[in-house]
Amino acid sequence: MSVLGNTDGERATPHDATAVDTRDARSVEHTLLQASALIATAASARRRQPARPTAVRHLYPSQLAATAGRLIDHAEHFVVVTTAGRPELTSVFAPGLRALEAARARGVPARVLLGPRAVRASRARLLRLSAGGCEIRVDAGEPREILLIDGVLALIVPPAEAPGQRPTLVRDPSMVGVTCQLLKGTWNTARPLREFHGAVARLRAEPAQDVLSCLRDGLTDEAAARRMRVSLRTYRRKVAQIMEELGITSRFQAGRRAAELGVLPAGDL
Amino acid sequence: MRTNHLSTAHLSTARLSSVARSRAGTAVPGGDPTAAGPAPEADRAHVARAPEAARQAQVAGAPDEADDLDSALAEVRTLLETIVSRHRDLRSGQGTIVPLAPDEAGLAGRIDRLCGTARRGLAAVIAPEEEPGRLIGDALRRVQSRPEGAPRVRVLHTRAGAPPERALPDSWRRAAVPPMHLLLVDRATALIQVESPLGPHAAQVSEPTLVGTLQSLFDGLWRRSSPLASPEFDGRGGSRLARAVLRALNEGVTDEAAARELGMSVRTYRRHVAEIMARLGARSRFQAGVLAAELGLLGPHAPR
Repeated sequence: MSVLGNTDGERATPHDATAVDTRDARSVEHTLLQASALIATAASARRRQPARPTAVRHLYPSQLAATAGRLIDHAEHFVVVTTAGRPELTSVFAPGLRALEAARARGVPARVLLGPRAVRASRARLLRLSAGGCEIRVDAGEPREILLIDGVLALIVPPAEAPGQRPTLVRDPSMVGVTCQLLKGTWNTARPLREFHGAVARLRAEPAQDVLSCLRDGLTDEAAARRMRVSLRTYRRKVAQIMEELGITSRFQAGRRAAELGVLPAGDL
Repeated sequence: MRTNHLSTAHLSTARLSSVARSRAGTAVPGGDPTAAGPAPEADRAHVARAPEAARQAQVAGAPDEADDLDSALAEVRTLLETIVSRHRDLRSGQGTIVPLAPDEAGLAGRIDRLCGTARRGLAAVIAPEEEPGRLIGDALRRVQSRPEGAPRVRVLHTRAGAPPERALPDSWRRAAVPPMHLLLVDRATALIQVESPLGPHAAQVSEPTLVGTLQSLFDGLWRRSSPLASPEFDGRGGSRLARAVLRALNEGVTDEAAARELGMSVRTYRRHVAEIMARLGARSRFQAGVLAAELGLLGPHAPR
C-alpha cells in the first residue's frame, strides 16, 4: 500500500488522491482524539486509587543521589547510614555526607557505619561529622549500603553484581524494623572511628607489614628476626611498637585486632 | 528494562503521514510547486532530520506547522513512555512484601511450609522463649533431624540461653541483637517479625533486594557471633572453661593473673591455652587471635 493509501483498488488519480487525503486526515484526528480520551480515563483511574505511598519502590541509579539527599534533609528523629564506600556510589556518598552534616546541625542524631575503604575515601568529612556529634564506627566486613530514616524508611542500594537486586525504597514497618534491629547488632560489634584512624594507615605501611607477616605466619621470634635480618631485640621492639599502635597488650589481642582491622598482609595462615 | 508500549512502527508511519496530511483540507498535495506559502528557508535546516517531511512541507508551503506538529507528537510520545515507566516503577514492588496477621495458627503452618521447601539453607534470628521464636526453633529442629540430607541450618539467639541439647555443632550461636525474629529460606524468602509501639509487625518478603539485604546482614552477624555455647568446644574441662580461657586471652591479662582468676596453676592455664590453640590450628598466640576473630569466637566487645 502506498503512502496515499488506496483501498479501493482503483488507479490513483489526482481526484481520488484528494478524497483519500481527507479521509486519512480525519482518521489521524480521530486517532488523536481517541488517545486523548484514553489518557483522561487513565488519569481518572489513578485518582480513584487511594493516595498511599507504596511499601516497596524501585529506583534507578540516577535517582539515588537526589533521593538520599532529600530523605536526609527531611529526617527529624534519627538517621543511620551504612556504607562500604563502593567507588560507583561516590556520587551518592559525598552529597549524602554533606546532607548528614546539615542534619546534625539541625540536631538530628545520626550514626554512620563504614567499611575501611569508605574511611579512607572521606577522612576529612568524617572527622568533621564526628566533631559535630555524629557517632561513627567501622566494620571490617564491608557493610551494605543502607540509609535508615526516622525508623520508618529505608533506602537500600545493593551491590552491582547482586543478581536481580535493584535500589529499593521501603516503607513497610516490619522490613524497616527488622533492618533496624539487625543493624544495631552489627553496630555493637563495630569499632569507633577514632580507634580505626591513623593506626590502620601506619599498619598498612611496609615496615609494619613485614612484622605482621612474620606474626601471621606463626614464626618464633628468633625465626622472625632471622627472616627480617634484625636482632632478636629489635624484632621484639618492633612487635611492641605495633601492639602499642593497636592499643593492646598481648599477642593474642594483637592477632584479633589485626584481623578485625583488616591490616594483615595477604597469604594463608 | 523500559519497554515501549507505543508501537514504534505505528508511530513512524503516523509521523510521516501526519506531515503529508498536516494541512488537511487547506492545499492540494501531490506536488504543485506553485502553491502559495512562506519561503522554504527554514526548511533547509530540517532537511537532514526528515528529508521526506521537509521536501513535502516545502512543496506544500507550510513548513513550520509540519515541524511543530512533528515535535509535539514526538514530545507526547516521549512523555507517555516516561509515564508508563514511572508507573511501572511505582508498582514493581507490589506484592513482594505480604503483611501477616500475628495470629499463631496461620503462622505455624506458614513456617512449617517454608521450612519444608528449603533445599539449600535456612538461617534464623530468634528469641527462643518467645513466639514466633519458639515456633521457628521447633520447625528448624525438625529440619535438622531429617534422616536424609538436611539443608544447612544456622540460628542466632538474641537472648542468653542454652542451645537445644540435640542441636548439631556450629548451628546455634549467640548474638547481641535486639529482639526480633527472622527466618530466611534458601536466600529467596524471608519471614520477619518485630515489635513496635503500635504492636507487632510481621510479613513475608520475597523481593530479591530485601531478602538479599537481610541475608547479608545475617551473614555479617553470624561471622561475629560467639559459638562458645556450642558442643564443638566441649571436651575435657567443658565449654565453660574454654570460654573463660578465651575471655582471659581476649582481655590481654598476664598468664599469672588469668591463672589466679580461674583458680588454677599457671602451668595448667598454659596447658588449656595450648589446647585451644591446637583446636584452632594456631601455632602462636597471635595466630590464635587472628583465627578466633575470623571464626567469630570472641563475641561483641565489652563496653569500655
